[in-house]
Amino acid sequence: MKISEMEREEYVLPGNTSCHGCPSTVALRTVLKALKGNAVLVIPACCTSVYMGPFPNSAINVPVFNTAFASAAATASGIKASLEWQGKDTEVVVWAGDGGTYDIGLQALSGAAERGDDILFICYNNEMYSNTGIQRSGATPYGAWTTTTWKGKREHKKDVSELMLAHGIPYVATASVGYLRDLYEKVKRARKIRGFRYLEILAPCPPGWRFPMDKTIQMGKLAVESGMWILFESIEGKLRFTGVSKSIAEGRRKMKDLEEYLLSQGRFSHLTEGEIGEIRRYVIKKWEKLARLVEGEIDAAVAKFYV
Amino acid sequence: MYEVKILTGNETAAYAAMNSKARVVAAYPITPVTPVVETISKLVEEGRMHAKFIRVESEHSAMAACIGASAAGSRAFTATSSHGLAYMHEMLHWATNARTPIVMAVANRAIGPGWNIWADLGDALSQRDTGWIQFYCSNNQEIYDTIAMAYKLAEDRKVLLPAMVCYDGFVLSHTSMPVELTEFDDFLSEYEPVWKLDAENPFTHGNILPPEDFAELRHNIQRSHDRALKLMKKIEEEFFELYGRRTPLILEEYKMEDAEKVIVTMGAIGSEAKVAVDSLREKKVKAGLVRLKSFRPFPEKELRNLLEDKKVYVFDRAISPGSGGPLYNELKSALAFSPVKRIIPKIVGIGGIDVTKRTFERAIFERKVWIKEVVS
Amino acid sequence: MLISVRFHGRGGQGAVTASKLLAEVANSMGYYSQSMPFFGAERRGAPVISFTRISDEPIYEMSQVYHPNIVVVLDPLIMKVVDVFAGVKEGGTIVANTTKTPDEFVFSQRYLNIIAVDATGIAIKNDLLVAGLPVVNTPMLGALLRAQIPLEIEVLEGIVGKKFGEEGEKNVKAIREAYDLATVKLVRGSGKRKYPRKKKIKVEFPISTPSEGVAGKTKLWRDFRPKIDYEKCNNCLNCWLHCPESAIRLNEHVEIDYDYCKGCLVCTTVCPKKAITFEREVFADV
Repeated sequence: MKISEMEREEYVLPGNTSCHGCPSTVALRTVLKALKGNAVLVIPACCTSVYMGPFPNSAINVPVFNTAFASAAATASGIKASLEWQGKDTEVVVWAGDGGTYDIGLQALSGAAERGDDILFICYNNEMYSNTGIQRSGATPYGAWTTTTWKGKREHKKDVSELMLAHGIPYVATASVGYLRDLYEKVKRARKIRGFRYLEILAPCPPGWRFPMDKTIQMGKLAVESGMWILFESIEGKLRFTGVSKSIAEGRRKMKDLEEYLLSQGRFSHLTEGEIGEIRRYVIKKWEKLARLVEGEIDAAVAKFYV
Repeated sequence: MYEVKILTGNETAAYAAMNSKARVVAAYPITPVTPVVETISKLVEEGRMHAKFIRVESEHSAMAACIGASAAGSRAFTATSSHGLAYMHEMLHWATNARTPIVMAVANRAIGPGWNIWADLGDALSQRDTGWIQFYCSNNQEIYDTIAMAYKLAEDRKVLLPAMVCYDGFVLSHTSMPVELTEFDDFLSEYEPVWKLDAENPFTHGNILPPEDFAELRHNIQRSHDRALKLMKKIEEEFFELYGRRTPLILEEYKMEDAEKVIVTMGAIGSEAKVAVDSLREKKVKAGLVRLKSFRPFPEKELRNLLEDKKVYVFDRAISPGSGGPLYNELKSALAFSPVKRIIPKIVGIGGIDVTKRTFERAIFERKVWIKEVVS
Repeated sequence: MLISVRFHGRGGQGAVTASKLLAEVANSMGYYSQSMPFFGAERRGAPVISFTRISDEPIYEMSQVYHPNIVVVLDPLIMKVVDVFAGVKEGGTIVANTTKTPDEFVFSQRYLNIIAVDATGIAIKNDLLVAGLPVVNTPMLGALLRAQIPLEIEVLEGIVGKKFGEEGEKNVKAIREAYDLATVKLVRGSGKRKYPRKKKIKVEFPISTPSEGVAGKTKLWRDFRPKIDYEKCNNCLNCWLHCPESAIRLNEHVEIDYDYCKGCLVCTTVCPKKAITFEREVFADV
């Protein structure tokens, strides 16, 4: 997919209240272009619900229905049922942060997925509750500083994209703002499938992760290059790695050192050697687990892709 | 055109949703309202009810889905009770401010712990500040009619508010009575939304609303309640003209012309109260009854006019701890500057204690406020 | 005696901190004080307001300050988008961070005291920087003390010196310099009061229409200005794709929309030809 072939219309309008270098606006711009604006967005409480601005105006140029924090997927189910009843083909897309996906929104997400409601659920994951400041969420990685984990989070994060694989839905994928063309193509593929579809986008947040505002895209790449974030796509139950993660899994590319990724962010600046080691172990376990799920496409041997 | 069936209150609510042409139903089971969910599920699968049924995983999601469906332009319905109603509390507020005219059946049940599945109006009364229109029914025919009338009222351009149709758990939800299953084609057409989500006309619903604009919205909601009260009288008349049945939306009077002691109450015990009034009259007491049907909007003026110079006994089937019976408190405020002789609170039927005509008689002749046993 | 102060700044400049510090100074000197920030969208560069009340009696007001005695403007840019003179009492005081002289200020009151000081220059001179940007809130507090306010500079210096650890000394120096260098003058205004009326919008539904600039012209948020070198640019459109603000337009060539560009500089990191450079944004001073 060439950038020059991408949809040119802007659906996220400039002059909104997002932070400098915000990954959410970057991702939403790409997602809405891939959908050509033919979507109804359901947005629970998150940064987007704030940066779209106050009444009587809004910075998003597609139909948007804001909803309560816990209820994004359920609201989307209701909207889709109504549109189906009216014979309309509009895509209903949830655009939620990790709070409204991993934690308070998890019940509704799982319910809608199990029912197979025809919705595209997109989580832009900045690994914390950023709209209310910088508090930990279920997606916050081990060791990260937040205002509710001042000494660093003691628990490893859970992985809702893996959870969605377990729901047996027809489309599950991960993406990163570091690879917008990959994101664009994934949205286009998801659009062609019917049923409950889940897409999780890593969204490195400059004020929350404490890195300079211009490094958002680079951080999105580094997360994948260092193996902390794994790009995969599962279509009708067939799972495969994609992009840089695929190269890593097939041994064509070495993972960058995890420390390069961790220590370029202020939220990890206090990590001890032991804690970094703990994160390394976690990353290896994740790769092993996913590699086994990807049937027979690669060897699950650890040594192959560990730097 | 009508069919008369012997139906429970729950079955009646389900048939009412069907004949009111609800097109999206999202509901979750909870005692004692579960049969509504089961019946609708069956009617949809049999192709008799033309609607989408979403088997949500919780009541909070049920209301969220209804709000979404209504926002996208469909007539939405759900049913719940007690803990389920409490669980969706946040979304009840949402439905009001969002101006989505959803109708919901509520089988009133006590909220625990300990688990108590029996009739108590506290579940719905504790939602009285959410902005929903609230009706309390006293028999199954009334449940049926009120659901259709509620849609007519809620969807009116001058109202646009959600409405709950309440009925006592088990007492009405599980009791069978003859119900005339009127078809409402002349009364209620397909939902015509004033606004709806539409890819052709993008707008954003529910983003940040600054203080002064928020106040405008809330004032508008209050005005809508005022307008709803006026509209109720018109809808009662229209219904009567079409179907020959007097189903009240605001309140029902019984033997009030020369009444001196008046019972004021809501729900199923309001029907039992008629028997109590007759019994009291036999004992030479000039008794009367005002059965309040609409608790929100609260018909202050109508009640003031009716209860002038009377001795009023308010029977609450709920308690707002730290304050008193909700109906008593609201009525007391409404009658504050009017020449009512006395207004006396009574708390009965809490947690499902059966309320008989004797309960009313004993309450009127005793000084105790709480009646905590069955008086047979 | 009740003195009310309104602070105007851009997010990240410390308007809220300055407001709190002032309240602390007053409190240490035995006055009752209150500091109240106003919350809107607190992002770097976005307009921020904070209020301080100082009194010799307990303060019961719990509302915002609408008629301040003193207004502190931490950044001249603010005056392009906010009416900093709104509600200021006749004969009140404006303390402005500016390179202009008091006579150059235009307002509708009959008379105002103008205290002008180049706090930005003083901060840079004293190496008072955080993340490369000058710290202006403390020197502005120094200049503020030249107004009719019964607070002592030594108390401010004491509190700031203790609070900011290693940086304390630099802050204290900047405070004293701003205090000494500020120009104070009673300036005449037009005398023609303006009372802008806010249009009432009918709100039946919480529904908004899509529009650019919901936060105004966000160029105000810019500290750094990116520039495309068209000699090097091959129109690959990477900058357009990655711009978080949708502030790069696809005309004949890619063009940065300087009305909205927030200066995040993401574009500079994604250009494969390194055709985008940046420099400090310098808006025409007020």
